[in-house]
Amino acid sequence: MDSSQEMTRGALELIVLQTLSNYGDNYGYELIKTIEKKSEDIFKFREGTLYPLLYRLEEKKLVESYRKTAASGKERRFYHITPKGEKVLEGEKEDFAVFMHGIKSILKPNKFKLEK
Amino acid sequence: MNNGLEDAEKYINDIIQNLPDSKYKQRFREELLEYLEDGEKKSGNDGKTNSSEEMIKKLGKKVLLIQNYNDFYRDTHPKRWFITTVFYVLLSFIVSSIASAPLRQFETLFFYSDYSASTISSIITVSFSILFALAVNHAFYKFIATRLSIHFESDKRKKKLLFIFFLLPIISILLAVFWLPSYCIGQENTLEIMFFPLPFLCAFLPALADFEIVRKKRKPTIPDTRLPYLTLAGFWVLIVIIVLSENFPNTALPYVLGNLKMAFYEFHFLIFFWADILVMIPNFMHLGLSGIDTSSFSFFDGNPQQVVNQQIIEAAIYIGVIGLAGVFLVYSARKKKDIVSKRWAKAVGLILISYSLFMIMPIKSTGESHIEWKVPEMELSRNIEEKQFGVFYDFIKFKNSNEGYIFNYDTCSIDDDFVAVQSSGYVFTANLKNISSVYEAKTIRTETRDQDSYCPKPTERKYDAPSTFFFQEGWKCLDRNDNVISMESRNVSDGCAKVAYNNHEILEGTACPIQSIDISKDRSWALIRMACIYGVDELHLADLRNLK
Repeated sequence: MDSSQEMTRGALELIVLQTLSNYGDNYGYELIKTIEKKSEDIFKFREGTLYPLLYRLEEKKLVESYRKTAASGKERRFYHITPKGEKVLEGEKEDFAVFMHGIKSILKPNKFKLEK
Repeated sequence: MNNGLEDAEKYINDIIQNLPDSKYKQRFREELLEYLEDGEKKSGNDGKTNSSEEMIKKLGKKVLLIQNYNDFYRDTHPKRWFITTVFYVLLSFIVSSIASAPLRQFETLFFYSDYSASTISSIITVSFSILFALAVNHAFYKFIATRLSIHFESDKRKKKLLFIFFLLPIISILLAVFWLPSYCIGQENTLEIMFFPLPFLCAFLPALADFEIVRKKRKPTIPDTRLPYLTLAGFWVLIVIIVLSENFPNTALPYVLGNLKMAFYEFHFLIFFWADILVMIPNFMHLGLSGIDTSSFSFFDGNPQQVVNQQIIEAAIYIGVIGLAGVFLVYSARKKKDIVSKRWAKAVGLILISYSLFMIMPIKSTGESHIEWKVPEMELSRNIEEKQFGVFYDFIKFKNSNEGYIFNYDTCSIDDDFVAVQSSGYVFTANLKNISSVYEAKTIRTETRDQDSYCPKPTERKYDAPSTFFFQEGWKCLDRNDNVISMESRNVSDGCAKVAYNNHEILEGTACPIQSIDISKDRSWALIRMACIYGVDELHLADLRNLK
């Protein structure tokens, strides 16, 4: 497991919920491809990771699923973010912003050291 | 990679192992298959591959096959569903026939003509049938549930559907037991009628479960290419066994293998039914509805020509429909591209041709075929051994003894020269001139009461033969020459009725109430009908020649 995967792990739910919120309902394969494309190939989900995550989100009622014929003509299970999911997403985004702020603060160059 | 399908399964199973919640495992499996299918389609387009996609590419074609296969059965090919259904109908016919025959033999061997024992045996048989049908259905519920889960995600809806599927066979069995015998077929053989629809019920749900998919997943040991010819060989072995059993009536062979023959007789019953319907059409046109005995759905009007017509139609169905369908299938096999389809077409075609020939050609040492090709004389002398071979429903025993009677008849007719009886798919006629004596007449004194309105009064009597008398306890009727026909009974229900003709007893000690008596025009014969319970009617022939 490379370092990017390690870092992604903590933000999995956030990424999936935000993708569903931004780009609408989608099914497993297309969801993975969308995340890959929009993240410029930084986030590459494995199907063994995504589906259990989606099931966990469904358990928490953050997403719901239904079957529908996809553009390919095949029937697929689509995932839809629920209002509760949107609410949680907003909270997580705020938490993540705080988290990122902390990270950024830590990662800032040490002026004192530079001056020294 | 020896087997892509196995690898796909292993790959999916490895992933599923990591899923803590078993509730989603089935769904995860389905979605992974869909994912792999999508991956196969897209991987060629974007050119990007990762380790997962490499696997997808390798496995995808196999997975696509599975998906297409499922779609093939699920939605788009009712023809294939029909073939599967037919397969199960055939299978269930054979299995239910073999399974039920011992019970029927038990009844006929030990409780023959015994009212109460026959009822008990019927109950046992019906119970067995219901259990059998449910067991077969239950075995396939798992597959049905799996397949339903693909279509219906709502547990509530799934449960409702399963419940309906579960109810269907039960409702059908109840209909078969209570409705069909009493309204559809009248007083025919109850056991026969009850068993008739059961194979269809047994076939219904397994057919939904999609036999082919189950078989594929089990990786059959017999290759598809060999299966058609093995089936054909099996059919011929069955034919040979049956023919052998017919030619060695004094061995144990017929007793053991006679049950197998039941499967063929089930089909014969079907064919006969349609022949019966077709024969009935001109009767309807000629006589109108009033000419048909609708109370018991009796189509036979006593005309010997009708017997011949029926035999011709039966033969036409065997040869014209089944036989020609076989020829067509064999011929069409030439155009099939797939080797398995080609062989199946040939094998099924040859089976149909064999079956049609088997049913119309003489196969016994006596030269008798399953179809009576002409109105035979003295055909009312079938013996009890034949019953034990499995021809349980047409037990005919008209011997020159006081035990002579017909068991389980449908309709009958008597004239001066012959008596004709239709019994569960067979029509028998006997030339009465060749029967020396049927019953040893005794003189009895009967206690007669007032005549009933059903009994023709002298002024109203029609002298067209045959005269029919409807009887109840203690009544007396006069025929046109004032011969007295009467019946006494201590108690009709206890089975002690006696019938007398001019104070000569012509029937004694029956277990059933007498329904009616037909007298031939020349007053030489009396045909006594007993309406016992459904399926065990009796018909007695009494010789009146010395009693005038």
